Amino acid sequence: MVGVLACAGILGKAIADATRRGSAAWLVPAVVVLIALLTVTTSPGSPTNPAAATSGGVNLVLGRSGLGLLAAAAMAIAFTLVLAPIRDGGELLVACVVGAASTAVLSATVPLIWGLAAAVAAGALAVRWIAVAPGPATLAAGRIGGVGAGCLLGAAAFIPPAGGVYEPRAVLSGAVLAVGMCCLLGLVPFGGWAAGTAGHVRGADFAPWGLLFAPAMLVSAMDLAPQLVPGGEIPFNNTLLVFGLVTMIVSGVAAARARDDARYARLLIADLAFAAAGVGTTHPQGRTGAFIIVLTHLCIGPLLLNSSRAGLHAQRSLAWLSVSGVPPTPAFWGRYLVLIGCTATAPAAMAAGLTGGTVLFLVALEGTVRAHRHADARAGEPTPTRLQRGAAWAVAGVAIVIGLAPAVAAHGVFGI
Amino acid sequence: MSNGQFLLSVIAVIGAIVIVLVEGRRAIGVASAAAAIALAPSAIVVGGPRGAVIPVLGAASAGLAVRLARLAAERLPRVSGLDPLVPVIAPPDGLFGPRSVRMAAVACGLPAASWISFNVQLVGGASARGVVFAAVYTWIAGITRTLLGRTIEDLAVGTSVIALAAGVAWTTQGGPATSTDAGALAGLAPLSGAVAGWLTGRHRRGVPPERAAEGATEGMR
Repeated sequence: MVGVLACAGILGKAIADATRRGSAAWLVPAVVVLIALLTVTTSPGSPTNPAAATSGGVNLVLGRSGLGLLAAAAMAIAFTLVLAPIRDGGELLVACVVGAASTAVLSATVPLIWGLAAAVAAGALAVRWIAVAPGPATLAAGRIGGVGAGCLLGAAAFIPPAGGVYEPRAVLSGAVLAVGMCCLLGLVPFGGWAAGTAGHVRGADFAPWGLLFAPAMLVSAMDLAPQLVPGGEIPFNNTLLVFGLVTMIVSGVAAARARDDARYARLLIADLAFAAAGVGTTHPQGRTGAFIIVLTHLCIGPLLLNSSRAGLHAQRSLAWLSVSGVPPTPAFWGRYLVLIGCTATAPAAMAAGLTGGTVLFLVALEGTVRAHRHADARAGEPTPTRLQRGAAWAVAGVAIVIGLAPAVAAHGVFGI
Repeated sequence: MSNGQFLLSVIAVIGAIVIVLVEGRRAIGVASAAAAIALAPSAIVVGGPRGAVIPVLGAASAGLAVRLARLAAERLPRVSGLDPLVPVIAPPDGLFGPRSVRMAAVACGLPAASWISFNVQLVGGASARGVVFAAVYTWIAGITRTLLGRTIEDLAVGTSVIALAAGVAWTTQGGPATSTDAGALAGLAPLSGAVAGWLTGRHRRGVPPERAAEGATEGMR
């Protein structure tokens, strides 16, 4: 699958270059989606996730949740490209390279290979972002992404084998892994690059990180944490919990102050941080909530990451509503479950989660109102085609359906 | 610490200084070679002569990949692109330049690497302190290069050095059985070199010969 995705990217870029407009290029990830869906339906996958596998070396074993995430993310990326007002083909190559790397992230049985895949994804994103929007934010993305991947690679050698007493080594590996995760997930204090980049690159360029790589890192972190001995697991999970909650509040406030075309990307960063906090709680409810949050954004991200245009306001209003956190929207169930996990962990975590949830609700409410009043439209954007309008209705409708049956959706996609 | 371990550490420090100071079109090749020279003695101490294969091959292939990718990119008739050697943002005027800042940062990493080598055990006790120090300090040099990078070339240098250092650390803790993983990781060095070389070649391809000649003349003045 890694090879298929990489080849699809090269092929899509070649098609985009050949047609000079990239209008047909989105067909390539669509074909890849079909292949991925076929894989999901015909193969049961590994019954467990890779962390539980005992094989060593460079074997790649894709678990059920990873397979589901890849299929859903591939569809999300394809829809993002369909809904993008302008495409140049380069975003397709990067999406497929990041997809291939994320496949390796989700299926690596060895921490070193996990870090290697993360480094490839971070590098591809950095080069693309710097090329399309050179500036301090994209340079910071390259720097911090590189440092994050370097931390994962460096920590891999220090993860102690289970059963022994290696206190300094376990703490060191847990702390360095946590720093690497914070860097790559855009968590405070290393996450300023994510918000900055979101304001400078287009949705189709930001999607491979927000809808594919960051969720893949979160899902793989769920498998990684139990592998660590207690000395490493505790700092790792606590870092994700604390910095995830802080990032949620900070990014939520930033989203409230952001201009219309950057608001959703900052809300996505905040929600991913809340999902990271859910992973850090180590409670089953918190982790299920993280999955549902990710699924919510995989549905509405393709629509809201792209800039607003005339003819898509109703769909965008519906999408904003589904991320508001009002019951029974999918964001409500996701945040509610993570909040349960936070409550079981510490009262302070619950208070922070409630605060952040309130901020995100207000941000989404403002987005809904502005989309409904057509106040967020950008001048000069091309009018959406009939296909794009239909795709926008599809993603908004699916998000609402997920809110009505979140457990079934999460089970169907992630197998949880 | 024995004389041998001290020597390993000194070689690592010299290698790290080269890694943070080297700049220009050949930076990836030179930095990777410096990392390999810093890491190879440690790898030999742990895994015998075969242990040095991964860092040496990784560095050699990185230098080769830069060259080949640049030549390939120069031959293809396409548009000009991003120059990996040009800083992404204009550096602010300051008393100290980027090399000085990187040098100061890697000097600050010395106590950290020393602490880790004395307190964190990867393999067989005190005899491996110099080995751990070399891997950790080279890794810190790569992280420094990445964190303070101003160009794509800087990021590529940092990535290739980190890959080589992490590969040696991985084989140090896991023994020869883990050399496949480390070999795969060392592949990151030529990959980052190829990306930088490709971008350099693509950028140079976009410059008309008369403008390139003008630039060279101005450079000589």
